[in-house]
Amino acid sequence: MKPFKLLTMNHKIQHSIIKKLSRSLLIILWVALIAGNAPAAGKKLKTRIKVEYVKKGDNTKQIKATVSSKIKRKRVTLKRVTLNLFDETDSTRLVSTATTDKKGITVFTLPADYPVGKDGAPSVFAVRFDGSEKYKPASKKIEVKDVKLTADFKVVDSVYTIKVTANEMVNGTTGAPVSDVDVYVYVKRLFSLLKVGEGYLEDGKATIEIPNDIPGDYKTHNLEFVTMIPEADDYGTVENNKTIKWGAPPPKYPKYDNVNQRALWEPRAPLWMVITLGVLLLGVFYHYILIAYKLYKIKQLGKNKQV
Amino acid sequence: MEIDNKTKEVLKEFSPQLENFNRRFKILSAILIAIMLFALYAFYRQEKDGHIITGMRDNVVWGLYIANFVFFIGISYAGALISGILHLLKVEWRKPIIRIAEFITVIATIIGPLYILLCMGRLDRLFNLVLYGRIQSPIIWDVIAITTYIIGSFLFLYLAMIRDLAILRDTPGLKIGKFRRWSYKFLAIGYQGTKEQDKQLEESITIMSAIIIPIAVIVHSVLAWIFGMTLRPGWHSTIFAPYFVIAAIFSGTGVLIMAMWFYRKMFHLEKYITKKHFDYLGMLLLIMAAIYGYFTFSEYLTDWYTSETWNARVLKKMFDINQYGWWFYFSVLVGNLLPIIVIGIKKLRTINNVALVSAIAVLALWVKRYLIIVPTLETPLLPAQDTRMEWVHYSPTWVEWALTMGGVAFFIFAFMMLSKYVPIVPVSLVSKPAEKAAEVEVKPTVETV
Repeated sequence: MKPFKLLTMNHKIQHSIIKKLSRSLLIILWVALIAGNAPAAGKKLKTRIKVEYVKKGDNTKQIKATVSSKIKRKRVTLKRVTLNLFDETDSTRLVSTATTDKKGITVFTLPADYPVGKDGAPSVFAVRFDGSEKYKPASKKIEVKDVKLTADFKVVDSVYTIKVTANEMVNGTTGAPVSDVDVYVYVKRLFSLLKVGEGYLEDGKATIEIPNDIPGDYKTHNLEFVTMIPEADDYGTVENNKTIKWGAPPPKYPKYDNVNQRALWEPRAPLWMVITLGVLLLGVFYHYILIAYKLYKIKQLGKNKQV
Repeated sequence: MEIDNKTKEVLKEFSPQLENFNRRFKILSAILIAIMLFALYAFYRQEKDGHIITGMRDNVVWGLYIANFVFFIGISYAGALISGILHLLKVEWRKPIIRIAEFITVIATIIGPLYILLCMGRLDRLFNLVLYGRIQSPIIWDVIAITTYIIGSFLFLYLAMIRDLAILRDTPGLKIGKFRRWSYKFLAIGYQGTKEQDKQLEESITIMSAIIIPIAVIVHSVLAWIFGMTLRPGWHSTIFAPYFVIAAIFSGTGVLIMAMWFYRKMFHLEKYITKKHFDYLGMLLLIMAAIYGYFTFSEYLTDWYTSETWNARVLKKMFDINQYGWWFYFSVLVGNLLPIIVIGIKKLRTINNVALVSAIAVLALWVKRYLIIVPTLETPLLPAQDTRMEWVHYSPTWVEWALTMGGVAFFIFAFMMLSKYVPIVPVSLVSKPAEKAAEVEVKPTVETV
């Protein structure tokens, strides 16, 4: 009897342990599922704003803001979200309001004469999102100084050379030179910018040599250069644009060689092809028309019989 | 028009099929309409959300749609070639099956090109194809050839129906609506069966029978050249045009046999569609299977033996059972050998068996079209930077399957509706005495005593 009793006791203990274990497992699973996949009712999701400052070649300033949130452990950008841009340099002042696009991005463009940097101190811009039913409010500040970037294009000993000068702007006048910052030269191509040279600004100056065999515009041989200080801590991105006839002429092919005659872009089809197709189509459609005529004849003959 | 007694008798047999829409017909129609509506919804979603909801991507830009396009244009051969040739040869046994063949041609020729439209990303720019089409492009050859073929197929079917339309117009007592009777009158274009009218009509049918054959051959050759003139592994082959033509006759014959079997059962046409029809068309299927098998072997042997890098890659995918192997062996071995074995052995050559192997062959040929398109596109000649597997590998989505099923449903539905409009067996032909046949009756040369 005894061993049997012990056995049943053991079974009971085992049973209760299994029961407790499975219950706790279920609770863990439930919590994990709820926490991992869906926000609890009423709990708002955290929002993040990323801000970039770009001074374009025409002196306009752009503040690009990207809004995102983490949904199901994945960062997702938020579309159609209203953002406010404040200038907080002296006092808080609303500059503009805009809505994000499909990719969760909005770009605030400030006019060329908008003052940036005062008395050598940086301007402070803040992009704010007031939050919604689903998302928490968020804010992001950026501090930037104004920079004047100039590029002088010269041919030095047959080498295409760009002399770059960069100075801070204080109350509309040239201030301290920009130093210890990388500067790049790009050429605008069909889809994106092609990097053609790079340098390092020391005492506000850098000299960059670029290749002389970059194909330019087919007719004018122009190249559009973009000299750029990209994403500097104090200045954001600063650009300088210039179009100059430095493009190498495209290679010339003989106009009517065999390749071009058979090329997809050749406007005229080979004559034999046009003739063959024409004869075939004429042959077939002649018979179609003949049959249409015969059908007309059948109809007329039917009318005559009825009369 | 005076209708003779024999014609009246034959029409009497077919009039219930034209007048009654029984429960089975209505249920089947409802199912087919439901499938077509679902396909329409899939089309709406595709146009609304773009091609991103299909399986097609940068590498595999053609998928199920183009496989369906080639397949439907292929089966349209049934009417174009079979009825065209049989008419020219004045083969007597063609009469009961000729209309089925012509229906297949017209319906399949309408459905096929629709899949090209589904494949286009910007349907709103379709008109540019007409405005700025380039004669150098095989795609334009295809557009021109198919348009010509559609017109020809309609004309061919219409010409062959005029006599029956006139009979239906002049048969009193048919329980049909006013509009339908008016449509018979309108489409019969005053045909009264006079000698002169008959002569004009017969000449027209003979002309169409003669020109529809080369048109059909050109259409399928052009279709093959779209592939053949592209420098892609598995496509760039000189054999492709005749290979596609043979595949088309093969599948067209298969679908014709299936349709014959279906109508024989449904409308009890045992008197008209006999074992002889299945035997003769079965033999044609066997011959086509043999030629197609020979072409397939020649094509793959040449590719395999030379083992050019890219061709070898496509072939490896085809032969590997973890990739397309099972599909390939089904389409090539089962789809080719089964019809040859079953039809070749007299004991196995029953009506049901011939219809069954036809269905298997048709399915195998559809798979083959898929295999011509997808594995090649999954083997890009220029591997792009950052080519991810999900961009290279194609798997059709529910949208593509829905539109494929929609096409098949439309094919069956259109067939059913047309066979309710005119008798599926040409009444005017089967009630006419035998024509001067091209068939030569073989007489014993030695008389037995």
